[in-house]
Amino acid sequence: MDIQSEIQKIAARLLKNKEVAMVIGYGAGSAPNRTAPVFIDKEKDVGKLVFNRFCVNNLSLYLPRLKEKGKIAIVAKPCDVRTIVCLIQEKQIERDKVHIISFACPGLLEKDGKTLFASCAECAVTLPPVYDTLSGEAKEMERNEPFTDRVADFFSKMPAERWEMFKAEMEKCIRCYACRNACPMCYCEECFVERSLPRWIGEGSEVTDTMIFHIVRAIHTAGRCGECGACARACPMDVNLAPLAKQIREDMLNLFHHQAGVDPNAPAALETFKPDDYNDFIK
Amino acid sequence: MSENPENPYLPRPMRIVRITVESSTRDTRTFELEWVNPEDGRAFLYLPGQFAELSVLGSGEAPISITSSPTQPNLQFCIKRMGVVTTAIHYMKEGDTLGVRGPYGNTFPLDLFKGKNILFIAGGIGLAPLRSVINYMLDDSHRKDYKDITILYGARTPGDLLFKYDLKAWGERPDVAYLETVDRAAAGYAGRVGFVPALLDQTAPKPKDTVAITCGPPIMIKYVLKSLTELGFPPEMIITTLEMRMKCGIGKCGRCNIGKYYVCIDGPVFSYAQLQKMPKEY
Amino acid sequence: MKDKILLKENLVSFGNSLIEQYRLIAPVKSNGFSLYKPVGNASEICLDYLRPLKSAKEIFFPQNETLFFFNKKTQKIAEPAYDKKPTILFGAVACDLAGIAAQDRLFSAGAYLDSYYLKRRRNSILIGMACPEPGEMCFCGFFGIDRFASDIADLFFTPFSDKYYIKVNTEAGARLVESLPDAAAADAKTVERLRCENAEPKWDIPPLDELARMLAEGFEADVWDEIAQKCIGCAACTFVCPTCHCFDITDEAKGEIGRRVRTWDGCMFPKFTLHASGHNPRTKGGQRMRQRILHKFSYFKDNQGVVSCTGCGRCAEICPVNVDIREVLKQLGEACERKS
Repeated sequence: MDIQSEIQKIAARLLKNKEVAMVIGYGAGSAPNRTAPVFIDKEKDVGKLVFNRFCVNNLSLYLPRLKEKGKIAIVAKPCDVRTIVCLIQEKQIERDKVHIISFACPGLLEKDGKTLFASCAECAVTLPPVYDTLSGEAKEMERNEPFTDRVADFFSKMPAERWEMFKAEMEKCIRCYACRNACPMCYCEECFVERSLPRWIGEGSEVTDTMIFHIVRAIHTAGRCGECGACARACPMDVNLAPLAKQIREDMLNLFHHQAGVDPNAPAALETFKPDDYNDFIK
Repeated sequence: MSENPENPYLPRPMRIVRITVESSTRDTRTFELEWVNPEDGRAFLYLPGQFAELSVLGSGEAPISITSSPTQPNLQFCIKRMGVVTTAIHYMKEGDTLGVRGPYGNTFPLDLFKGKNILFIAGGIGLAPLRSVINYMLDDSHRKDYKDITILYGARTPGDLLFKYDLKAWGERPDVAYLETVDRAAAGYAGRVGFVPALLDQTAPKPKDTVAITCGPPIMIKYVLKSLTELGFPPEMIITTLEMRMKCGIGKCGRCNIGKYYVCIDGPVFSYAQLQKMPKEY
Repeated sequence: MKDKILLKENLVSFGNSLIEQYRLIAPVKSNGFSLYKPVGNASEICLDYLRPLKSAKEIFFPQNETLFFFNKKTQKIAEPAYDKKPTILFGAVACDLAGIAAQDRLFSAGAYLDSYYLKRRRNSILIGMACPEPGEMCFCGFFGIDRFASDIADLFFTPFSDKYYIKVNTEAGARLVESLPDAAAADAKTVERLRCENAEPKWDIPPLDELARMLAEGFEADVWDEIAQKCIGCAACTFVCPTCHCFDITDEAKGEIGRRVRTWDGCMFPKFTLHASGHNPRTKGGQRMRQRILHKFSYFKDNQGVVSCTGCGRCAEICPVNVDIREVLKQLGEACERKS
């Protein structure tokens, strides 16, 4: 059975048995090669659930805001499951209030229907770290050159050149905050960019303000980013946000031996202190 | 094409001539301002109900209703410390300069008020915009245009009653019925205790030939509208002012849009009849 | 005024002849899409894409605009210097020109004229470009927008075979193309045929007048919450929109020196209507979605006489969660149908 049919079957069963109040999944989009989030609370509507290689959103962003509805089932890619794990670690949701419908992920495609998304091409997590039901078979995906090389390439450049690359990328940003709002880990009630007393950064698209927004967001997601790439896919201006996130991922791994969202029983990175933690920055 | 229009976003400088601390918590103050350039003052012609954008360079602008009456020489704004700009204004001293642009918005329907009994119902800082029209009506040149004037005013505590100097003057005038109340009494207070809508119910004013003008916190307005309706006031004879977040003040920035209205140009003064036709988004 | 003809191979030299006297803005290629940008050499002009990713509104109403500079110490304020060189917007598609027409109304409406917008706009020339084929999210035809003409454009280009047919609408436009050959009657016929062949598809949306009634009736309809459930509250839709005009005004200062700046803002941001007191009249996503849709299809029409959606499809195109304005209108129609 294909993944879509399996998801529909699981959703029907969960709703029929009243095991969950709602299933959050992907539905048909309004144009080819697109999907849209759907919220199903009746068994008869499970036919609306689709699965294809355009399921670009990380639906776990809806979990905290819908938790008062009761237990919720969610269709989640393995990378999305990593953010669910982080949300559980950070007490935003409870493990027994979410039913994770996951699958072995074939990777997502760009709207052209051919190109594998960069974040998917680099992804090693084809199976979810935790789940309640699993469908599909894990397949080896085609891979682009490993990402670490791209970061290495960026860091092999002279600082002035790196600055220009970063600035050029930041100048594309229109400060619509689609990246932040598409990110399940950006659940702050009030984001620092919107604070007015004190005001941390200017509101407009001045490039230095934009840089501060992206740098602070990246640092705020250190050790919490499941690398799902939903932020980059949400960006209307195609700003390449991956290098920031990926470098922080590397730092977390190399300096603190922490990988976000792989072990629901492990504490969150910022909650732990080990005597041998990297502390060279304290002088 | 034709020549460039005047820039509507430039604030004109005004000097603070007097700061009056209004509340015992010191978070509400009245700022009396005079124009640095008299020609700016000649261009600033206002009527009760209108507001202005007050500007502190480096902090920004905030829309504040004008609490003085055009029958008075200087402009006065009663400001509660709330956000960035109002906090910055509270840090200012007499002699400091701030920027003003306006006047903006519509005015109280003074023509409708003429020849009628006037009932004011105010709560807290909601008295600030009403004070403008009250002092306008009580001015010798206008008092004859109106019949009985009743003022009901309430605040949370005696210390929160604003404009105490005016309250005293109104209380002493034979041609004004002034009644006040507080939600909670304090030591040394011998007056009325209770909410404003309750005071209104006790007073039970007659709706005949009477216009009610109310301003205060949203919850008070809600119950006042209910009471006035029960007393038989038609919605056209109930006037209130709306508060919305505003930026430009000139109907462009979209922030104070409620239905087809922009509070900054179509308001802030609305009749209850108008409110009933508007989306409840205020 | 006679219509003119320009050979496609002469577009670059025509463009470059304008650059000396005008600030030329045209679609320019920008990694995988195009954007309206100032052009240094007309060879940069790129007409390969359906329409630029962002609308043309920022040419006259930039995302960030300094209203004035100030000195906190001296309390002096100074308006920014203004480049008097007139602007030519070249290659604007009809939906964007309709957007400019809507913004013209707003910024010159009522007792207050927006001097910043108007000084740019009044010092500009608009050159439209026919849009040969609507994109998958486009529905300008629903609003009666003609992809092959625009009244607001000074000149309007329609490509055919190896030429552009130039419809001359104004004297200012005519002066720019004085030296070009006149169009022949046969050319006009060819362009007219092209236009007829590209008749609009049928739309699965209630007609505009019916829609207005439905919107008025459906103000409190639950369907808004349903529609907004997936909305993530970013403002990408409002920022790419040719007509959205909401803005914020803030001060930025470093030491004594600073500027007052106006910046695009959006009604889809939850904090857009937040009062300093903490009160927020629109706390729910459904209320914000309703505001955006009603503002476009009802309030703007009541105040400015036109609907402020041009069917450019950009909001649907870039929405991270596929909120498609056409679907929203359809859903709304269905909900009102169910109710009655």
